[in-house]
Amino acid sequence: MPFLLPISGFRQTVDEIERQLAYYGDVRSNVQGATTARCSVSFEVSAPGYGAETVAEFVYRERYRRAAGGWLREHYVYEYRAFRSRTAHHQHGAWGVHRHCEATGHPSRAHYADVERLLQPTHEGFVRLYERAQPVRCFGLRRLTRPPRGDRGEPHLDE
Amino acid sequence: MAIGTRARTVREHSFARKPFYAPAEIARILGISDQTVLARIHDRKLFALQLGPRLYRIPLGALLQFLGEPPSISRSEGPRAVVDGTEDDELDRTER
Repeated sequence: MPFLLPISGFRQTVDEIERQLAYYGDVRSNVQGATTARCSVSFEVSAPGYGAETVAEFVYRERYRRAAGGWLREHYVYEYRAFRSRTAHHQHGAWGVHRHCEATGHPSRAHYADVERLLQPTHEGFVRLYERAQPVRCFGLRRLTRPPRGDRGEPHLDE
Repeated sequence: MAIGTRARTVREHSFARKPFYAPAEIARILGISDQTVLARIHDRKLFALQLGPRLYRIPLGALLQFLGEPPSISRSEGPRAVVDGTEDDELDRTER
């Protein structure tokens, strides 16, 4: 499912995301190449911020290419990190759409099956994890054994 | 004087900074009723995370902004055009 962002609303969208994220902590945002054919946007949030000790981090990065009618999202990285655990939804590189999950004390480079995500609903899911003040749990995920072959290949599931 | 009818400041209120507050805690901090806090949430003057039909949590940043502190946002921009391939490597650095 391609995600197209209107060129005219690009700056307003960035401002609105910054505003929403700033309720949860200190936001560092970066926009690169907004006047070129490809641009990247990133938001990093240290929560709760505002002088309080950081207990969680949210990272959102997206890459777009200019297309007819707007910016077409090509890649994304959405991550939540807390209690030395991590959950992430990615679309990039040979793996395409995938996710990561690392429980506390269980570092892993495993790739898991996922569906395509959007930033704001993903953030809403992450803040619910953050509100529970518990480490990430990694249950019920389907592990991918290797990247799909070509653009149309299906991920290989580890049965 | 009812909250919202005059400027509020963080310095007027003493509270421990933590990730989230219940509406009742906000009411105690601000010296107002629970109903007033809920009214401010419903009229979107105070941002709250809604966890259930009547269950709200107010993040620290939302409380501070309600008290007049500016959002903590650090912006940077650059003209760098994104090049195929290198950006993938950059994204992969977040993987551990």
